[in-house]
Amino acid sequence: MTQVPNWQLNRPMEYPYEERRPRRQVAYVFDTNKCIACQTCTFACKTTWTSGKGQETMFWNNVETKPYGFYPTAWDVNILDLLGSQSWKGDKYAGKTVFEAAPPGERVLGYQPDELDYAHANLGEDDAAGLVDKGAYFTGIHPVWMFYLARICNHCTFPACVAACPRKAVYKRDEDGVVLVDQTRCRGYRECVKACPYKKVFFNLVTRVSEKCIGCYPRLEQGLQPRCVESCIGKIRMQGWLSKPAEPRQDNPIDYLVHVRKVALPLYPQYGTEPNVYYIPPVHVPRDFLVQLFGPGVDEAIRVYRTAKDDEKLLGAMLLFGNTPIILERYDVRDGQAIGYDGKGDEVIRVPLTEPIYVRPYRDDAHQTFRHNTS
Amino acid sequence: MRKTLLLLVAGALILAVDASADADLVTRNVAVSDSVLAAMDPFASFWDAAAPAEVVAIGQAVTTPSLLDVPPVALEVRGVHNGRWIALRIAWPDSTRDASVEVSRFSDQVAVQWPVSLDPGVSPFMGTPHDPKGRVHIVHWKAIWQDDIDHGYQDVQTLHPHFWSDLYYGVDSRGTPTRDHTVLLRQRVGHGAGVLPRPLRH
Repeated sequence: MTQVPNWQLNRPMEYPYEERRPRRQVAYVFDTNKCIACQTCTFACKTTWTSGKGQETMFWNNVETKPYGFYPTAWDVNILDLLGSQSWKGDKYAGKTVFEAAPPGERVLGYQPDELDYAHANLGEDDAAGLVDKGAYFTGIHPVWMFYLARICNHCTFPACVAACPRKAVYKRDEDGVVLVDQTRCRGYRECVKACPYKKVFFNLVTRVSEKCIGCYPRLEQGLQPRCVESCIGKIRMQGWLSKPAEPRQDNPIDYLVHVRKVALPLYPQYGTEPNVYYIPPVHVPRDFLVQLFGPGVDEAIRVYRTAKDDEKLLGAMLLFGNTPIILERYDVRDGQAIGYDGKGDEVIRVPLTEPIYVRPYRDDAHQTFRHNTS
Repeated sequence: MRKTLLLLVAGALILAVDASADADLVTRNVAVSDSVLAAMDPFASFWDAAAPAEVVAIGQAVTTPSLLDVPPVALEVRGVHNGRWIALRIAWPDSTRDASVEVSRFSDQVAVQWPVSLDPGVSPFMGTPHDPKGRVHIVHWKAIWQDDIDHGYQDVQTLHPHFWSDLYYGVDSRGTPTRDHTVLLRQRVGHGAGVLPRPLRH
């Protein structure tokens, strides 16, 4: 084990390999407040990449209902139980990561899910956080809550799958940070399946090797955002490139949301893998639960999120979500519009900060009829 | 239940099992037919002429992930050759037959490592890196591969017989005899068996 700096933990941590950040890192921001669990992302991914035999219960992208929905069943609570106490001292993690808590003779703390754990995606989705008492009524705070958590591979900076593979069949690409399983080198030992704390590496019983989300890298190479991002009808997602922690760019929308305003947070940062999917936390969920999921930055993230309506630069970054399939590498806000630019610096999208309102006369003289507002 | 496996390696005659100092593991030159098929009968009388050697499974702590807690399994190994091919018969006690492709289950398997050269300095730990004389061959048998040979490729419908309409978890074929071996040993004594003809190349 060597010491590597993990900015999400605010401390160095143990990892089997030296720190080697890619030239650029694929990263995503998901706004959980906007997700309606329509599963369009899930099926965009499914029909693109996992429609084959042996992939029947495999979802590289899934949307689960928290707190009791899981895929695979109980994935996160299992790891949390294994990991033991996970306390933070301020913004510094005081517990152990999955690497530091590895049992003797292993590189990562993990567990192997059972086949049945994959059989029922989002088992538990109908269970809210508690029962509604007889006579209860809404007072402005939801005593019973749930929210939707969309999940893909986090293309971690310190991937547990890479750490665990005894054959070095799992690797992280230098050009974009995408983590891949070499299908010809993998022998199906399933150490990566066991190690990934997010359970986003899957064993294919037909090929008998493991596979995972590939970040739609053929699209990334063409400057296009992944299928799950492009297809999201709730426009909750943006994919871009995250700069190194010490080099954030104010005009990079992903950097701005993650590094500058810290409104988007990593999922279970205490695992220690430095995941690169960042979530804007749901505003209505109890803070203790959110701190467990997203770390100690939750309160500040929600506070900042609530100011977005009065903060043009922040609002502009968020309004660029889902409005173009092209990867935005730079953005600007001016004249009441958010403007996105591609990698060549060309303008590719322009979104108004406030939707224009058009008022049409009730009477349509041209067609000799009346207009009705049926929406 | 006792599991018996037959490994047949044709084409060369180098045998230096890791326990090379163990004289019992040196193969005997037996007079059998040149036919490879002759060696595929694990109950042929010539096996009695080969002295059995016991290889006890030990833990692996050389690299991670290690396997330290190993049940005390002893493998009985018999080896024969006729100057052109080598055959090993390996047997071990096993109360279950594991050949599933489920994500959380692993197949019965065994492997034999062969040095390519007779150089005594070849590392027993999968050879000596960057040394042409330090190369090894590893002959690997898995029960699931044996099922592929015996019954066709073990596929989704093997695990889920009603696959064409749904996977129907909870009514799978686990425990049913749909994937049993039909090779010689089972017919005779009810054991699982495997035959792995694989050429040994320099």
